[in-house]
Amino acid sequence: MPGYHPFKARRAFAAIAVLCAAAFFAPAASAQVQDKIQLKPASTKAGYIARLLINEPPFPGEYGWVSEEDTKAAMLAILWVCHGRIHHIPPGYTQREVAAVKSRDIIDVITAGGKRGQMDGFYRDKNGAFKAVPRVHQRVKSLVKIANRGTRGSFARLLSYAQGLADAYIAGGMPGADRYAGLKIVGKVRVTGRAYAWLANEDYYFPGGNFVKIPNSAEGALGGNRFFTLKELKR
Amino acid sequence: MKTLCCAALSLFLCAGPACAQGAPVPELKDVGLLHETVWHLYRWYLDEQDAAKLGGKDDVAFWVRQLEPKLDPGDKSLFGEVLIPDLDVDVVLKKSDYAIPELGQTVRSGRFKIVNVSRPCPKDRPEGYEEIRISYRALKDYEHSKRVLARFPKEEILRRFSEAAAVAIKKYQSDNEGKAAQKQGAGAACDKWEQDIYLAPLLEVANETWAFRKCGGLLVHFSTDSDLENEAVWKQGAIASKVYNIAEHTVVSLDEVPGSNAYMTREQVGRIIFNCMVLGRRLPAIPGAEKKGK
Repeated sequence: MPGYHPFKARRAFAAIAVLCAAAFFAPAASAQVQDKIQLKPASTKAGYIARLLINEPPFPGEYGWVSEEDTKAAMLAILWVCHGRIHHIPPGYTQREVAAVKSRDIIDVITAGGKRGQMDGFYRDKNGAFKAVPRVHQRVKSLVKIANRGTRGSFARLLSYAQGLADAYIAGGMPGADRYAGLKIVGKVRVTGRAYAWLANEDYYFPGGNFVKIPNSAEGALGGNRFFTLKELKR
Repeated sequence: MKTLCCAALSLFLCAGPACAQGAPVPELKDVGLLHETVWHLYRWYLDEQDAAKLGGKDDVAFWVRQLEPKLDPGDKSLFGEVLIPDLDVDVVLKKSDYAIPELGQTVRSGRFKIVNVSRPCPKDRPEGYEEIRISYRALKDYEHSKRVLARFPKEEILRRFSEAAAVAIKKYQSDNEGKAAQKQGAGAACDKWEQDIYLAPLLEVANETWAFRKCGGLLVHFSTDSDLENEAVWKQGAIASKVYNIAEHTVVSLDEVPGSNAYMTREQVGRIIFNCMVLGRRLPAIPGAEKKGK
């Protein structure tokens, strides 16, 4: 659940001020025909990652919807979970313990465990091709159809954002800061920081293993999902 | 763009913790809403260990605040948070009020509804929360008197639930069991009564609910950001239905599958089935209903 953070507010204020200055002083753009929103094919890594980011958080009208900013934040946090499961395994843990797989390939992290594996509905088929269950494709198709109705709105912006994140990641980097990187303690439990898992909606139950729920006070709930960090292990 | 920038700037000029939350709107402090919230928890989350925590108490504290997340322009939704430290529960509520121009829809729930229940909750009252205390006896009597009270929407809405479940189940079976099962017909191997769904009673404070179907051992989760009992919301297609295969999706503890988001606990499933089959209403399968839908 988004809350108020003075530092982030000031940072965002500065960003908005820069954008507004650009808007005021930039030459007026001529009217442009808006291109239809199209995601990259699901058979490409960027397209596949985009579908994961789109599938998990809510869109307008859906249970858990708060705002574009909240859903975008969830998308970025999900990508950070995937990235963290490869590149930020905390001391004392193995990648297999955290991600149920040992690999540097983000697709292996997403598909680990099969259809009902680490990321529900995303898997590799018997030929090794990365796939998603039909409901994922149906949902994405429906959202794209809505996004391409009339004037560009939230649906289009969110889909573009997801594809943009995926593209940027494939091009070679994480396109945004990890909001959970600095988390050191949750309640009385020392934690590693960074999020390593998420669960949709039902965050009443214990997540299992060494996962620790990131509380509302640390913006642990984003886009209808609850994010989890890990207990810090004694060295 | 320039107008949007000005609006955004004016929002951010409101600096300081006061922007995070103001005094909660009266609705959030309404004792009736708090009773309903506990009723929802009683139905769907609490167990005897939770009841034991309240034993001996004269009253129960509720810490309430209004949340003010940054919303999209034009979105007049309200959010609130209720902490119940004696139960170690944190409840977030939302009163939706915004438009979806792409769909020509207005999402309006008309009242606060629960959108999230989580644990833990702070032991000491955080800054910014108002405290309301309710007599434990009054709370206990309220929940006990309503423990089997089942309310359901009008018949037209029940029919919508039945049809939506049929469509969702057919799609699920087609996606998961392939063409062979589709040809055979959904539920062909089951007796007719096993194809009916059992819908859990609806609480006005919730905008999600569940149904159970014996045939296939399936659960259907219905949810919306609006109002499940509003005919217009159904007509707009704004109710989501998701199917779960109990046998495949259930574990005793999420510790068996740490890090995975694909499972539910047996406890969770048990509560759902109790609400559906013991308190719920049987909705007969409607012939041809699975052909409806988008």
